[in-house]
Amino acid sequence: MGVTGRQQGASRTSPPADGLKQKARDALANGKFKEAIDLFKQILRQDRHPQWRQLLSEAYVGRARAMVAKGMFKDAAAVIENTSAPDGTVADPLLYLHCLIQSGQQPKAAGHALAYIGTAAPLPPDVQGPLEGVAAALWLAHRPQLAMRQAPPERVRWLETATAASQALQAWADGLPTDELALLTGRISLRSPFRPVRVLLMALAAAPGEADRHRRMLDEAIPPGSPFYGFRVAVEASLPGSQPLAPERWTGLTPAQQAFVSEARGIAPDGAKFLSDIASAEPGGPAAVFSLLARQSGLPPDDIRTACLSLLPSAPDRLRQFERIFGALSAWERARILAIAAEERRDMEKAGRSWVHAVAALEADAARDGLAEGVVLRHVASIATHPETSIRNGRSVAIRYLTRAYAADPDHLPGLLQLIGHCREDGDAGHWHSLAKEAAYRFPREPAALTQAIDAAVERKEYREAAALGRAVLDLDPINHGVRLRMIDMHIAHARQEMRAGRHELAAEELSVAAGWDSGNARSAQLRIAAGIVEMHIGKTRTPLKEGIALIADEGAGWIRAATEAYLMESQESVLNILLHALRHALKGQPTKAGVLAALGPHGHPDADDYRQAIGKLLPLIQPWLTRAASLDWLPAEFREVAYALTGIRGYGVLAEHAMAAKRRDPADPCARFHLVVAEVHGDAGRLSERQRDELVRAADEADARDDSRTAAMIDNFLDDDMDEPDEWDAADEDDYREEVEHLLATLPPGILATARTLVNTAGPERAAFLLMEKTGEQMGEMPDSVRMELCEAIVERVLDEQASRYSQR
Amino acid sequence: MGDPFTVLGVAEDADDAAIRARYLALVREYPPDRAPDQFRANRAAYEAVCDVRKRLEARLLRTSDAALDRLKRHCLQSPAGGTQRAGRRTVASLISESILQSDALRHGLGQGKP
Repeated sequence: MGVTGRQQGASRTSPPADGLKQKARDALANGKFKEAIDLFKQILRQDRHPQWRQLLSEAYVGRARAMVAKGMFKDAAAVIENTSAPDGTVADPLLYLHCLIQSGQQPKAAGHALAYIGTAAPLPPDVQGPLEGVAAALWLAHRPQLAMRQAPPERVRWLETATAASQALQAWADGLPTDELALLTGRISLRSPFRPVRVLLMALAAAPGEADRHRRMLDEAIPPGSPFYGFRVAVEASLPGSQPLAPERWTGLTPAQQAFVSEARGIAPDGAKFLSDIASAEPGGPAAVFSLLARQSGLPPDDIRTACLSLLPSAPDRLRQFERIFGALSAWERARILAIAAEERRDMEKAGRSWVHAVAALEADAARDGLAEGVVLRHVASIATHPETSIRNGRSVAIRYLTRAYAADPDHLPGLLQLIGHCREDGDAGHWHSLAKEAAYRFPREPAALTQAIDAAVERKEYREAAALGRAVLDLDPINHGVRLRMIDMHIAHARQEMRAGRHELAAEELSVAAGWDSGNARSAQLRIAAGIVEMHIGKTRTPLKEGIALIADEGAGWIRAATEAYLMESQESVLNILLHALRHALKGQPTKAGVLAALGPHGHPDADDYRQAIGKLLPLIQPWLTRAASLDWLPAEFREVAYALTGIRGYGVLAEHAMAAKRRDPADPCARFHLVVAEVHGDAGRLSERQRDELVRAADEADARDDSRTAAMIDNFLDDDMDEPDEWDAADEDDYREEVEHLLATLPPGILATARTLVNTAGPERAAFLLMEKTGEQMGEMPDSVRMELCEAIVERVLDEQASRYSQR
Repeated sequence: MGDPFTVLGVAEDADDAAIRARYLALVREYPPDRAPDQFRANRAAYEAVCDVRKRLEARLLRTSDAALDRLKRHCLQSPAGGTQRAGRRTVASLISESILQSDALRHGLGQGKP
């Protein structure tokens, strides 16, 4: 018979009272405490057996616990009071004390806790321990009055220790000498729940050099969770001989702890008030902190000025107020603050203009500092090429400012390398070659500078100079695979020239020199492929070719590289046919991700463009193999690399397949959507339809939403191919703009200022400009929204100036 | 990241050598294997101000809480320079608040039945 059957059987044969008991037990077991309380009360009216009283108590405790879970501490305490025994104890003393404390009834809790000290029936140790600790703390905080008559002896002893602890605390508060205090703390038993007080007072009275030892004692005696832990934190912040309190530590203290630390450390009341005020102002933002600081009079004026100045970039609307209080800022400081403020708003356009203005002011300064100038000029250059900045010829602007930065601070290698990088991307060979040569001369022990000079020498086909520079790099850094591969690529490029001229033996010699740069840890596959093809021409073994293909690990990719190399060397047709035959066979295999990336990568650095052209010739042959690779599970970064390479070789059909596959993996992927459109228009932005342009704009938004600035910039650049961009920054613009706003302000109808004053007072300065713009649209006549907004901000600023002026006059 | 000078505990006009010495002392005090978070914070602060150009970048190109921090430190200095005393009422309030925040009873909830 199942459980249900058994229960049904029992209910048929039991008297009605049994059914009630079972129902009450079920209600208790199922958490229906209110129902259980009613039922157990009914039972108790018929049967006074202690077990029903016990179960009723459990129901009360269960109900109280449910109330505690909802934060109803006061009600929960009242419910537990129903379980009170004649001696005043309750069913769950910890829960009851918790409810009293949390509902703000600490004095009542203090009196109640004493009922459990020295009772005849002791509580379990896991209850007694925490209860005595809390009782001790409660007693010290509230000193409940208790009749000592008829108290059990253990409670009397407990109260004697409590009194000793209280007297010791009072003695410390009264400033008694250390030896007298020691006598009093010595009366607090180390085995009593008042031990924390003894350890705390010993720490407070310790000599300055003993702070660490007392900190360890506090750590051991008062763990987190102890009712004295908050006291311990305050004492630790006040220990004699400890370092000045850090502001962040002060902020982390509670108000009561701060009050204790203020008094114990002797912090001036004004200082403590200022710290409390600043803690209240900080959530209101930099403008609120600025206002508070501007009102301070008891603090060092220079420090107040510097603190206000440092807040201005985050609260630029306080600029005029600042100048009114502390005097006019220099043109450089003013422009610098506006520039940082614009950057904080991510308005890179305005940031760039303000920085240019700052640079002009800095350069006009008689005491100009090259390092500072360099720092700012490099920053302007970085803003010019920032993905969120859209100015015409951003790279040219960057080159111009980096050139000026180099002149101001010629010893800054990263800046020079940045400049070389931009010039290389710009295709200005003459400029970057001379800069690279200068870098190698100025920084002869910096591999990064020498590597640039190697690249420049290789591009000029000055192989002897490149080799000398390469050896210099390896002297400094023997494990520099990058330079070794560069040198090998250089010799391969030279060998290709010899091959194209029909000088096969000289090509072989060139490649044998290249082998000298080959390292055991990073063997060059391209070198072996090139050497194998040269040997095929002079009738030697093909072993190096097979070795090279084996190093690539993907047979298809290996033969693609070999055939491409043959095109680059303008190989004999017989050799080319052998390679193409082997390639056709290899392409029957399944492509791998590593293979596709190895085949498409721009190998042979000096001839990267030639390589792309050569692989383009192979495209009809390798297209099915590349298309099959679209179904591989490419990661977004891998897809991006493949798509970039396919665009480079103009493989738009394959690109479309890969982009569609990527879109199937992630339909919103902005990179996939961009490359699909690029494939549709064959890389020509001029052929974009309206639909495709919209799709690109949406993809760019998606890229922004995903913080994928690289894709967003790529799309923007593609779209910008046939769009106008703003002009470059000019330092004069800022002045023109200011004059224009000043003129508009001077000719404003009088009503607008009155409206602005009302709005500033009712809605606050932050919202006032927006509301003013809405209210005064018609009065301001026809002007672009952006200008109107700037004008409204200027009006609000003027109102704030007026208020600040009135305030300072008062 | 907080103000790098404050994190490292060096003056804003400290030179490269002083900053490096202080950083190395902090590495010994908070090695990466024992205090990885503190080590990372110290490292980031050191990287931000380790040479004169980076210090200029921090000062010229970014906002900083250092000045406000300095004001707060000024207010926190105790003119008497040692431990004083606190009023009995302040101590009672502190203990009362300490009890309120304590977890001692929460851990034992549900175990106490006479």
